[in-house]
Amino acid sequence: MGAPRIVPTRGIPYPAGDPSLAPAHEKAWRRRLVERALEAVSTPVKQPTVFEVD
Amino acid sequence: MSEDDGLTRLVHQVRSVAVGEQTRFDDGHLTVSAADAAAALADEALASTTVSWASPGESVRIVKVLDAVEPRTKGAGGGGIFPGFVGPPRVQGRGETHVLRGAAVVTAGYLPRAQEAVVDLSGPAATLSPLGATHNLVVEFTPAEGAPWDEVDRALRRGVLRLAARLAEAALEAAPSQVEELPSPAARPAGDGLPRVGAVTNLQTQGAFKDVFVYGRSFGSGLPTFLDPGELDDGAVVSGQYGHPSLKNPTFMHQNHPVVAALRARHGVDVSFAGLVISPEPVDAGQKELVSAHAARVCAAAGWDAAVVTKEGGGNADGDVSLKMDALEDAGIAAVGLFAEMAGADGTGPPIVVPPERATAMVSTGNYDEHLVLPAVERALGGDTVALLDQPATDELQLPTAVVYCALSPLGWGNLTCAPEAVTAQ
Amino acid sequence: MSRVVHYMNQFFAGLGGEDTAGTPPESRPGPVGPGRKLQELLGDEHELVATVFCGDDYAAGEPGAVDEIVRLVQEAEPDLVVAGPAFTSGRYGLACGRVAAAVAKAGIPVVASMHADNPGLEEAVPAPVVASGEAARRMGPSLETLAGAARALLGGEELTAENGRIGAVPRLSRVSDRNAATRAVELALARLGGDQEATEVPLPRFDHVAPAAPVADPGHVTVAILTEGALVPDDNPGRLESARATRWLRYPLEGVDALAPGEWRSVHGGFSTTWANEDPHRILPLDVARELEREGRIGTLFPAYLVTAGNGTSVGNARRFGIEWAADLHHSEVRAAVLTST
Repeated sequence: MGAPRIVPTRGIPYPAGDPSLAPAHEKAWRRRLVERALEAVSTPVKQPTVFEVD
Repeated sequence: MSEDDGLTRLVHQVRSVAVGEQTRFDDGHLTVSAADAAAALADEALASTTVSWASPGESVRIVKVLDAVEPRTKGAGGGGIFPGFVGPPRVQGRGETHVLRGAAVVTAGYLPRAQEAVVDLSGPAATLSPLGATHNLVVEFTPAEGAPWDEVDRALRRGVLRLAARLAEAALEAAPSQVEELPSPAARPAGDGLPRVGAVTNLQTQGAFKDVFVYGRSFGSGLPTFLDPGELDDGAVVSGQYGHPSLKNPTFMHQNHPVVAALRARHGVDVSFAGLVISPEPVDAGQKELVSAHAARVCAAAGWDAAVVTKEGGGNADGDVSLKMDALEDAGIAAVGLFAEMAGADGTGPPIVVPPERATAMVSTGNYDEHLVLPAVERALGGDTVALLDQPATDELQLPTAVVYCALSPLGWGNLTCAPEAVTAQ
Repeated sequence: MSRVVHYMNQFFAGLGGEDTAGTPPESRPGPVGPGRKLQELLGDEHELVATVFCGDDYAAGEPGAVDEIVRLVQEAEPDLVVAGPAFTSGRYGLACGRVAAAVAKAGIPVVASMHADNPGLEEAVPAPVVASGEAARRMGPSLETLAGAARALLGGEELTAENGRIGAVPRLSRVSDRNAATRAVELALARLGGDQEATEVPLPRFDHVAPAAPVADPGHVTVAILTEGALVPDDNPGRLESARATRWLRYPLEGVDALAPGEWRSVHGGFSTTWANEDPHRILPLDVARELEREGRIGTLFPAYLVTAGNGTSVGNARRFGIEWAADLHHSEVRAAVLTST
């Protein structure tokens, strides 16, 4: 609905997490999400753009 | 009009009905014999069936409405009507077809995945359904013990189509009340300068109890294709879809396709009726896009200037209409889509679940969520209770418009629309 | 001559400010405060016969308050009720909205006045609302709009956007004289004739958000982390609502490297908060943000976070929060923000 930069996450109750992972892996996943977000804010966009994390 | 040019409807108006000794049609009075009905409906998957009439104005309610079929035949034994079910799967839509107008054969009862659907023959809901104005021969059934539900469904479908053909046969020797000539759409522009406008009809294709049949086969894996509109008249498209009652297109509605009728009515006046494209409604997003792009190509190849796109189903089906509208507009074809609005009980919610992105011309078929009060009735067919409310079917009922059969007709049968609330101090 | 009754709050009735916000409802004959100007604008044909006022806290908080107010309104036998203008005042707007809705449901014509961002806008349904200015210094033009709408209604006209109508206009089923198929063919012809706008269903308009220019290097700027996952200190000192939030909060992160379970919780009503409460970083990624700050990937982590509950938030409120957050962060020279959304 209009947000220009979006990093898709894995679950509504845990946007910056993934409880199916062991704690160390979950933190690593969280870090990748935030790193991708930092990439996104450094990227010019013209319209709503999704920045996936694989 | 020659054999190849189109279809002739021989219309027999039904004015009154009864159950009697013999199946006959005398000067507008249609009698059905219980024995003939039982014979038409007989199947291993059904332990028993009953038929009873529900006529306009009576204090009757039909619940758990499944499909409705207009009695039609092309000759003794069917003559090819309902190809793939009653007749062999051959192209139809030519020659003569007898129609018992003002009557419908209606199945009512429990099937899995079927949503509670209501028709009232009197009161405020009667005008909201086409079946409120027809003499309905209601088929109630008891499944045979141990019969799988999909076999019960198949048995009912075949039986009701056979019964519909059998009823129409009674009028074969009668002089028709009206004769309607339905020419086939021209393949090429007629050179009369009129815009070529066609109908794109999406058929719900989600498998058991949510399926639509073309020539007797599920249309699920098909690509959009032309269908001669006359074929609709002869029952080439049969409904096996029992969800979203107000958004249903029963067989009856395909036989009397409102958009095709609206285009035929103005053919040669301000439009040139360009024809009909039928399309499945895939569930998968990628498939939806493919089918929509393909439909636009088909219409462009036939030189259409504009298309009226219809659907069957709820919000998911909105996506199919919207994708097609955008694809058509991208191909230079003006697109209009018919949508029911799901604006909530107070009408302030966002109306369309998946609106088009580039196309903008949308017709509203009414508000899904608006509340109705249906008065108590003397008699109910199809079931004893309304499952949705857990109340006796003959009670006064408070229901959203969503539950009334065809009330928001996606094929455009109804007169409902939505408008911003007029606020005055009167 | 039509009888008009005016609803307002304690402040505009001249009783005082916050100190009198608990005043129970009262009715006075004739116009009071801004009602006098309103009477002038309404003209001779319409008489402002009574003013009902109530303290904002009483109206918004006391059970049965709205019923009391509606009773007083009804006693004055109005042909029309006007409420406000409430401008952007949240509690006043809520009161106006609820009173207007109740009056409408009681079958009395009514129109409320408030700013488009007032959270009370949603409460007013099914009553119509017209736009007011942002603050009381815009009383003059706001009253003109309100008086215009009142006169239109009393004259039997419909209220539309031209009268200043704002808010969701209910779309109701109507019976047309032509079936939908016929209307569709007509619409196709209109479109072929060049009318690209004609439609029975207006397309939803979502705000276009112009994307901000990118940050050259996040390692050189202040970056904030924000959330609408309603993560708050365990005792929810700011009393953030679980749904339809009317507020947002800021909590300090100075010297905080990690969020210990038990010290924080999510009060979001829209999902199961078990996972969030087990590990608050699932809502607010402070741990990894601090790592990235230490490594120089983030220049400075803003020493606070902003939070609200994104559950059933009205579009008006959400828009207002966004504007206020942007202002707050900009003022603190934050150049980029990461918002977790639930």
